[in-house]
Amino acid sequence: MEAPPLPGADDRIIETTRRVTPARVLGVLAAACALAAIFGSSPLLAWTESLPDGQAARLLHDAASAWNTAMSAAGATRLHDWLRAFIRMFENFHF
Amino acid sequence: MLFPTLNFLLFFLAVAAAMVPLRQHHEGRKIVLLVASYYFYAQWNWHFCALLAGSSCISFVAGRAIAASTEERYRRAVVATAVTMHLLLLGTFKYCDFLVGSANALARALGLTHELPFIEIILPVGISFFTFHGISYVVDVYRRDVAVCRRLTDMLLYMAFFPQLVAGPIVRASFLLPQLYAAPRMNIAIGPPLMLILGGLFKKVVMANYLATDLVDPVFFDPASFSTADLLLAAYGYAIQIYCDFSAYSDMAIGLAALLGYRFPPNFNQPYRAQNFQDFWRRWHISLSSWLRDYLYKPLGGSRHGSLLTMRNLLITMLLGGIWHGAAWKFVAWGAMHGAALVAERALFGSRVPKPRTMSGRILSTLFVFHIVCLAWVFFRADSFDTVLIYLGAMAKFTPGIMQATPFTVTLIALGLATQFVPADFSRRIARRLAAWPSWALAAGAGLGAICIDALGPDGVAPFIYFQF
Repeated sequence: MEAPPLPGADDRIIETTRRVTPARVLGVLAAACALAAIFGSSPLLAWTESLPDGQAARLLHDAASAWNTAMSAAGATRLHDWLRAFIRMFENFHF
Repeated sequence: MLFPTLNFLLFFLAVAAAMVPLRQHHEGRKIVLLVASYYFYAQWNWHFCALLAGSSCISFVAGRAIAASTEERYRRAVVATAVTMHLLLLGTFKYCDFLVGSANALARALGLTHELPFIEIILPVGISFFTFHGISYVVDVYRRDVAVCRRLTDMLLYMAFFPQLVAGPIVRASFLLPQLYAAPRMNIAIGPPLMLILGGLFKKVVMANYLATDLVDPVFFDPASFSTADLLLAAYGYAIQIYCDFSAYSDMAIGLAALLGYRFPPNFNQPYRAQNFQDFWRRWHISLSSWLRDYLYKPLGGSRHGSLLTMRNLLITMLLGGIWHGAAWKFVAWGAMHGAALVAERALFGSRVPKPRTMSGRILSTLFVFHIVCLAWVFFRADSFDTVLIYLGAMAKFTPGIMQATPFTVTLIALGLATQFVPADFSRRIARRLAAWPSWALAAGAGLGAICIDALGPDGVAPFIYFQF
């Protein structure tokens, strides 16, 4: 038995939708996370700062900080920074 | 553990990783999902895991007892007992202090000096949802709509499955349990679930959160300080905020379940394009409205016993639907407004409301329904009836100017409204296009999409509105 279709996705879509195994699902999610870690190193750093204090948290924070520095130097954080600056600018407009 | 957080992402990655070696082991996969679901629930308050398990056991034992008997009176007595036990649990945790407060207020009004003490029970997250799941199971077994659950683990997983545990959609036993009984081959269509999850993230993180912090919360906190335009826009803003917030959770729940190989029913279908109130309730929180229809309205008699009783049944259903949302009179008022609207429609047009023939008629109908729905949302959102009176009074003063609303929040409202009027098959067309994408492109789209949504959203993540219910 196939996994049942999603609501809103009719049979024709399901027939043409590529179906993958759980291993491929994990692969896609892991690849998406890896890409997000490259372009979103600053939120990753912010997340480590919110962790409860401890040895592991400090290690994670140091690693995330070094990673964020490297990604900033490589220019990978520009997209995130630009979008954030744009939305903040838009948010501050007034009638 | 909220969906739009890194903590949840790591949790879900771990669950997805555990699914890989268990591809051919249906029972093992269910055990992993069960453990993961209880871990997920324990992140709020681990003490309530016992409540969730107890509630599941009530349904499990009752289901076995119903299925084991052919005597109608006995089966009915078991259903009644199980439903009563579920409602007592819900009543104790959710409505006890509300009832005490209401009784004390009545006593004061009658001049009595003695007051009942408040118990101050913590409200378990998701109790309204898992109670409805439990009731759905025993009633479905009684009606023979679902095969009885032979394994306790299936029942525990049905009640606790983490994507729908804390804020729905309300997945009926007859919908989900057959998926747990069967052993589906784990071939998963990955594009549509990722689209639902990213769309949900955008609606929650960007639209709902900004509308809450930049417009709705400040205006509802002190409505007397704002202009008529601000108050009107805040009412519209809340209509969009609650839609984006709740439909986002539902979309993400549906998408997450689909990534694990399970199907959930749809919960929203462009509700603000409704042209009458019947239509609105076929589009808003569909899993709740259909649950109330099948487990409350129809057992009350539905529309089978004449107009007056039909209207009574509609009102009772909507009043109870209102109080299901929370232990406060404002929710009763919200339910009463929708009930009155449905009753008025029934009185004017009968069981089937005709669709307007002209475009202008359709536009006017949609605008009318939307504005009554927004008025009801003011009751729903306000802290108290006093706030509602202040809000509506301030709006009637026609104070000029705009103090709180900004081009940004107005754009969000316009965007939210625009999503209601895109063609109904818009998401299907996108899904069809995604179907052609290779896995690496889906991964790239999901990763970049998530980063863009994080960048566009405000700092921090507010809890989902429906968590409190």
